[in-house]
Amino acid sequence: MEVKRIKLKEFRQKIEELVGYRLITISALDSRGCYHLLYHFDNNGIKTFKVLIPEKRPFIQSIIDIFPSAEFYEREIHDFFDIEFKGNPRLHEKMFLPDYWKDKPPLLKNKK
Amino acid sequence: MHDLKIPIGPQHPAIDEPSCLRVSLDGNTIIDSDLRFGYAHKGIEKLLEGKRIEQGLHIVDHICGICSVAHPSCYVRAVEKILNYEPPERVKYLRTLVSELGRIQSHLFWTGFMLHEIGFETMLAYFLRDREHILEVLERITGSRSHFAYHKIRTVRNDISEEDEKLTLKKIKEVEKQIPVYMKTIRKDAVIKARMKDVGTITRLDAENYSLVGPIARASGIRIDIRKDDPYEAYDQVDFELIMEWDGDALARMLVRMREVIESIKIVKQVLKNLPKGKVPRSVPLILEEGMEVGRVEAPRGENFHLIKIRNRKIDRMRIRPPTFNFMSIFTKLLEGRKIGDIPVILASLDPCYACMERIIVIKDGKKEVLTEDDFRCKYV
Repeated sequence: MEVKRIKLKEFRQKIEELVGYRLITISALDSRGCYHLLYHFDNNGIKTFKVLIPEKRPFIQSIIDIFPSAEFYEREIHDFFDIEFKGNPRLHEKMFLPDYWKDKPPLLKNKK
Repeated sequence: MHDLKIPIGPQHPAIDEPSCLRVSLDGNTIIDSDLRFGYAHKGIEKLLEGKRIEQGLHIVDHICGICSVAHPSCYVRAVEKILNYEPPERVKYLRTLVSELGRIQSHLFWTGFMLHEIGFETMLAYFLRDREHILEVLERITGSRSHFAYHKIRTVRNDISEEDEKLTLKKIKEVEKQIPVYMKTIRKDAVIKARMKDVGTITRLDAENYSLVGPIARASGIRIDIRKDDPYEAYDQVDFELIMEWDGDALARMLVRMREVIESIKIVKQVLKNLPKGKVPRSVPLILEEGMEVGRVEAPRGENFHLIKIRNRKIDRMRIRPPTFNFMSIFTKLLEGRKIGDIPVILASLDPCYACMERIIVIKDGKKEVLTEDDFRCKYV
């Protein structure tokens, strides 16, 4: 799988260049010390772009103004990883988890 | 009126699957809506963490009872990409055969239920009768009527005999005979036209913006089919047409699916005719140290996508993006400005499959305590 790394600072600018691609999905991975966000696009084959987000105060710009289908993927990732997507208006309405959920996000790993 | 939200579901007689739709109304017209899921969660993505690859396949087999060919097929494709392995021709053909039979049964089932939603119960009975033929064939080939578990890594579970081939051909012909009759009914019937024509219309532009996939995108005039764009199994060796309609409404989506059944029948016939001779390899244990790969296949509802990351011979992370999750984002948009009575028709016309979509769970015991990950591992891993 080919993965192209994008820096967090240049993220928005790089994504804006991808207009016309089809967003397949966004996957989040919990790694050592940071989260990996993989943006999978389709343009004559799968193109994957990786962004690293620090664990402390994880946040990134939302892309729903360019790719509206990202709304549910971002909300899902917010539910399960607690990553903040700036600009997604319904991010804090829980989609999969119950409203009373207070525990840590379920897909985070136990780190020792 | 805007701040008053009416919940529809999770249990509602008009909606077949559990989801909670909250709609704001002005009289009988929908102004705004939001969806809540989580009523059919199974925790598959969490459950897969730390499992061996073969164990993972067994869990993936059980994600959904209708798309039970698409998920293992996608998983196997991703793992074989990591292995850099090309299966023998006979295995590829057998996988294609089962994938297409799975697609036919799913489309027949869905069309029946779509007509049931608009009150056409007789047609539902006819469609279920025809689906039964396909299920009988699948039961003979795979040994199961719902969770087929036919795909194995590097191979398939069992070979098929000449008798099975004959039975498949016979049953397929019986279904094929009925399709023109149904097509005529769907195109001519006044009730179907009144309830489905111009309902839930997705324009081509919207379909592109919302990155839609599968029959829904094809009904809006977009050329997208993973079987053509990124061929897998034996799809590059069979001849079939990419079905498209241009209207983008509920009726167009139904026509796309019905015409796809005819194409699938065509593929099944070609596969049986050209089935290469040879042996199906035995399934042997697999050791894979690490790797990360993505796989995608054309499920009955559209593109199914798996990302698999392996570390220390175990699955470290698995991401599953079923087609239903892709097109749920446009559902709320489609409802705006429509009447309440259109909700079941629009929802059913998208063919949602919640069992696929809801894979991650909040696990609770009877005392309303949330299981920690450690408890969860003790219990399930």
